[in-house]
Amino acid sequence: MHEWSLLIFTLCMQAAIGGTVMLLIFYKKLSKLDPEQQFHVMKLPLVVIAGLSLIGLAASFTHLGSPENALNTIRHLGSSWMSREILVTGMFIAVACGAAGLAFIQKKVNVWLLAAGAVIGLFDIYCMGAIYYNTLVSGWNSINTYTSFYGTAFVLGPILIVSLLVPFLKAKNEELAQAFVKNAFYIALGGIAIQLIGVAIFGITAPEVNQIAGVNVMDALEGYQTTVAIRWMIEIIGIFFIGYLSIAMNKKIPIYFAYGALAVLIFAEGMSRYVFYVMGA
Amino acid sequence: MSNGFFNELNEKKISRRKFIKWSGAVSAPVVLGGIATTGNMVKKAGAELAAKKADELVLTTCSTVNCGGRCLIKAHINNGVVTRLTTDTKADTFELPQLRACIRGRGYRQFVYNPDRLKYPMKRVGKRGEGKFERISWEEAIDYIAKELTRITEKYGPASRYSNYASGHSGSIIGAGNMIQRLFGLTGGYLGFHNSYSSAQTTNATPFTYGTTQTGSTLDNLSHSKMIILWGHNPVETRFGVTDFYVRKAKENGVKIVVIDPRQSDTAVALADEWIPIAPTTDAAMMDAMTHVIITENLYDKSFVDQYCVGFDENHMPDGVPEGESLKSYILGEKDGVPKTPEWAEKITRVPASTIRRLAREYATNKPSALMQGWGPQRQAYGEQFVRGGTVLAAITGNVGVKGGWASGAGYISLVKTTAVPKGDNPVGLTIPCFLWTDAIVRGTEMDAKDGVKGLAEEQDTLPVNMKAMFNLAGNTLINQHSDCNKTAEILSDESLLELIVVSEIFMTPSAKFADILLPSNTFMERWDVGTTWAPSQQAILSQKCIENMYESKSDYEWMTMLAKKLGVEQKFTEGRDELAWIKWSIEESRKTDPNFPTFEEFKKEGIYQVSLEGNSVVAFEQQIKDPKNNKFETPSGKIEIFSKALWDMNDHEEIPAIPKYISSWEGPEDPLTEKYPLQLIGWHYKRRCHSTFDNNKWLEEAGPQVMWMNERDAATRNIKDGDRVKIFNDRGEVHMPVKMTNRVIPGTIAIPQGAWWSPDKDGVDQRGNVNTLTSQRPSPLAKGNPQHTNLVEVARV
Amino acid sequence: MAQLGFYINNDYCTGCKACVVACKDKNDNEVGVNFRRVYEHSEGDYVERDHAVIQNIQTFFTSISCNHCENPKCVEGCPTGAMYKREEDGVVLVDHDKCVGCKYCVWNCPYGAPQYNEVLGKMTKCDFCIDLISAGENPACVGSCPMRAIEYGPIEELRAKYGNVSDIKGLPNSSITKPNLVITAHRNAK
Repeated sequence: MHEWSLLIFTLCMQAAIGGTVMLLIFYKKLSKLDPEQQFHVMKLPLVVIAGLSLIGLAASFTHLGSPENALNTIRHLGSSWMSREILVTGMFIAVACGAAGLAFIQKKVNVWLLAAGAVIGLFDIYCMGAIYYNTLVSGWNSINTYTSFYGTAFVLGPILIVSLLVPFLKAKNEELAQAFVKNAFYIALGGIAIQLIGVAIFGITAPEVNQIAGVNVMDALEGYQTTVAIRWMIEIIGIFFIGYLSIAMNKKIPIYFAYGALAVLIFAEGMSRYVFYVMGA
Repeated sequence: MSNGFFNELNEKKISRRKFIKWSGAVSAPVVLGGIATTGNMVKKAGAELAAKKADELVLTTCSTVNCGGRCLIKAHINNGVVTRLTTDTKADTFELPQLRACIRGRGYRQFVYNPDRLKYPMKRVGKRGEGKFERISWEEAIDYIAKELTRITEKYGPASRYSNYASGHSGSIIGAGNMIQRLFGLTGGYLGFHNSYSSAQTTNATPFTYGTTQTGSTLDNLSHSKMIILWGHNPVETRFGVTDFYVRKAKENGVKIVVIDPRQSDTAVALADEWIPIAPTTDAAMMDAMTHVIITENLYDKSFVDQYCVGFDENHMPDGVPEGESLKSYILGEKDGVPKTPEWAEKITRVPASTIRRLAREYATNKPSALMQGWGPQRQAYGEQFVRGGTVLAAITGNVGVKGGWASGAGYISLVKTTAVPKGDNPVGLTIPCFLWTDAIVRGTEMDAKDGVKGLAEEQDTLPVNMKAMFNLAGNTLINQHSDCNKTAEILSDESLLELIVVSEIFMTPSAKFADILLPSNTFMERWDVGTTWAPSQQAILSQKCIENMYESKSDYEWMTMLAKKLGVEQKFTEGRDELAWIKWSIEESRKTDPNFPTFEEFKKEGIYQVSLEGNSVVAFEQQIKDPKNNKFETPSGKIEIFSKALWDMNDHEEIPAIPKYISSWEGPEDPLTEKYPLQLIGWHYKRRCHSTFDNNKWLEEAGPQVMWMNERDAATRNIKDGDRVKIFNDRGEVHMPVKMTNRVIPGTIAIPQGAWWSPDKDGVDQRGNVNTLTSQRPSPLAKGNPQHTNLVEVARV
Repeated sequence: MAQLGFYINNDYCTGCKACVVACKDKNDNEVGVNFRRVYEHSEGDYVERDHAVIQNIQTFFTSISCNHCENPKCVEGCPTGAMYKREEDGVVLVDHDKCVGCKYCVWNCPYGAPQYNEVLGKMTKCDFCIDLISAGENPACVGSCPMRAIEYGPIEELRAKYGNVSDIKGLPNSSITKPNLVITAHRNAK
């Protein structure tokens, strides 16, 4: 596996997109607060989302052999999913950074930008999946590619937002904070469910080998069963953290629990993505 | 989009690509005023070259490393730098085929421009073999050699001086080995050698059947065969001239091709209709069994045996031999009670009796058929029996002297004769089998005729002195290609034994590391020579000097001229000729016997002298068979000697039988040592290397990495997986290398491609995969040849 | 000019890799970059009966470069348009002024033709030696084969001469990209 750039890129982008979607979902509930308070609570997530997307962008550049030609990559929208993905990713990054920047200027959050970011982002994940789905690499041309990517967004996005929002919110509106943690927990469970469906489909479809030196994905992943197993264990521990937090918050469980869950889940999703790129190596 | 747009893009692309190409070509170190530069010259040269494409010089040359192909190489030279290689492009016909370079020939730029080349003369400063050297000048090097050589000669006599068998960059008509012997000869003499590491056993054994080693026919014959048996013959990788081309042509003509080999060689894959795996060292048992089938089923050529052969049965035996010693008696087991049936052979060879039976019938009844022997199976403990067994099968089936048949045995034939610079006389007049040089260092004064010493005077029983001065020029046999590296290293490291070791080399090879004085040799692209192929040969190629000497390197002849001057024999040594003058002399000499041989100017223009097979087809022994009255075989009896009285009279009937017999081999499959070391080990010739030459060529390492072949079954029982690094060991040494798990090798046998550079770590474990870490110095009985495919080992995970 | 293609007489391929190294020499390619590649395909096992072994080992070699496909997936997927199929002879080329070095074509090619050059930061590949062809020479690989097992020419001519086979054991299905390749299959590759 030598696709560290792409691993970082996809994880960052998917977390940022998932985060944007979550912010949009929470936006309505947060509008109970006055606009300044709302801005105050949401500014950190906005900055982190923009930051993540920029880190992703930087990582994607390190993947390129001739980054000076990067602008060329949107010249082949007619047939190349990669072109499309790069364009859409660019749009998402622009919107994410725009949303964050505008919020700081206006001291309030622009919901339309947030909504635009979420829609573009969700389409971006589809494009990202399509890049891999349309290759000849054994194992990538599976529904699992899409479910894995969307799953990452819906696991990391909610936990990311919760761990950024709740510490600030808790003092102001404990009830709201509690509701957010619960929401995040359910959505993350949904993310995992999506991934599991993908894994199930992956497991029952016979993989093809369409490259001359290609290895059947089952052979490529031989020796990674332990990695996969550990990943799922970690993932469950992370989700358990959040689940526990959602029911036990008023029992003065430290909020650092959320950070711990985030760290654990990033690690789990990273392992999952690592195995994903093993297929292409 | 319009064509114009695409063309424009394309032009851009090409100009860019061209620049890349040339800048790449000169990014190898280039000598500029004697100093190697890689830096700022690159860009300049690249730009100049791009502009000078029209001035490109194309010279034909031929690698005079010990390659079986000796193909035609065209060097494309720009501003004194070889930027591309091409090969033969003339019209390609059956009689006059193109001599296309193989993978090795295509990789020569990585050889000539390898940054690891030795750049200046060096003198040892550490312990011998440690590889620590300091730079000296050529004058200092020549002074030292002259002084030491004189001292040793005065103290021990000229018979203590030896030029080691070396085939690496040996050259052809003005080779290093020959020329140093010429110089030794002019200054008192030397201990010479006979045999080779390639073909010792076949060149010694074949004449006992046929009276000559010239048993090869021209390869057009193969298309007239009904069946070709390539027994341990892998021309696709060893490159015996263009044998593979002619085997292909035969196959196109519908000739059935059978390969017998422990490995499914590349030849077997592409050219064979059938591959018969056989346990190493047991070939003679299979031959005996085939003979049994042919005799008992009356498939032999009675009139041929009657008229042309000695020793087939008791009615055709020479005088003075007791009863029961004929071929037939042995095969039927009349004396030892063991009929050499296919069932008997199956147990030894692992070839099913039914297969042996079928093959014997096919070979004997489909006439003419060609049984071609490779040289691999004769490099075993009793390889002489394999050689003579093949000749006997050819004889009793009447496949000798007929078009489409093949006499088997050594198989030499050459339609083109070149003339080497004469070695001159050797006043000492003694030679040893080249494989026994380490013995001559340790116990030379005990070595006698039984050790294969030739030229001993009547009152002289042994060599007069142990070897003291060693010149190992242009080869890697000082350790790498000789058997038992660890034992050899021990002998060489003892500075009280050899008192002088001079090595000339292109790279820091394992042999070079043992030098006292290490001289940087140039490559064939920097010198003149004439190249000819291994048998069967139909051409000579002018190996032209294409570029100037790189760094401070010199050709061996150039520095030997300096040494000759120092020793006061320059005029006698050179006869006033430089290298090129000798080439011209050689060409004129060759023209005296072959008027068609081109003049130097013609040769330079065409680059090659290739004799068409049209009208020049040769069938070995055709005259002896057609007109036996006037054409006798060159044997003592004048016939084909199935039974050799000369061998009988050697009086070692167990190991040197008078008829070919299977002799159960030490370290063969029947040796009790298999309990400790259950696997047989062979070392095959790898397509990506010529012996040890090119082991450091990165393009060729990529194309053919150094891996040990192991059968899936043998790997499974040892819990070894494909790609694992494993240890291969016996009492002589240990090798660590990666394994290629493949069923292309018979169960019970592993194969390490020979020629990897011996790289012992601090514990003496070879980390590169040199098969000779594990091979034995025990010679074969008759030829005193190298038995390097005879080894027992065990393999385990590291 | 018509679409160019390669003919491989797989039956006589000895796996020697002269074509691979001739190509490297012509293009000055470093280790790891191989515009032409040779693959070994080996399967089968032994039956051991007492001492005897009976083999059923089926091996063959395949030499493959770029097949300058009818539907080149590398071109389809390339985000920059650097990978293109030129009209006059259908040769698939990389325009280095456009290439961004994303390596996406590697995942899209069934035959391993795109070869990434780390030093240039660009994708490189077989260009059919169009410079040699225009100078009247053979492509480097074609003239190199000691077995005369590689030919090239207008694909329709090759197909008329050698048939339509471009699917053999071990090769990806030709329907994916419609390669301009004709193969005479080795007996073990059918």
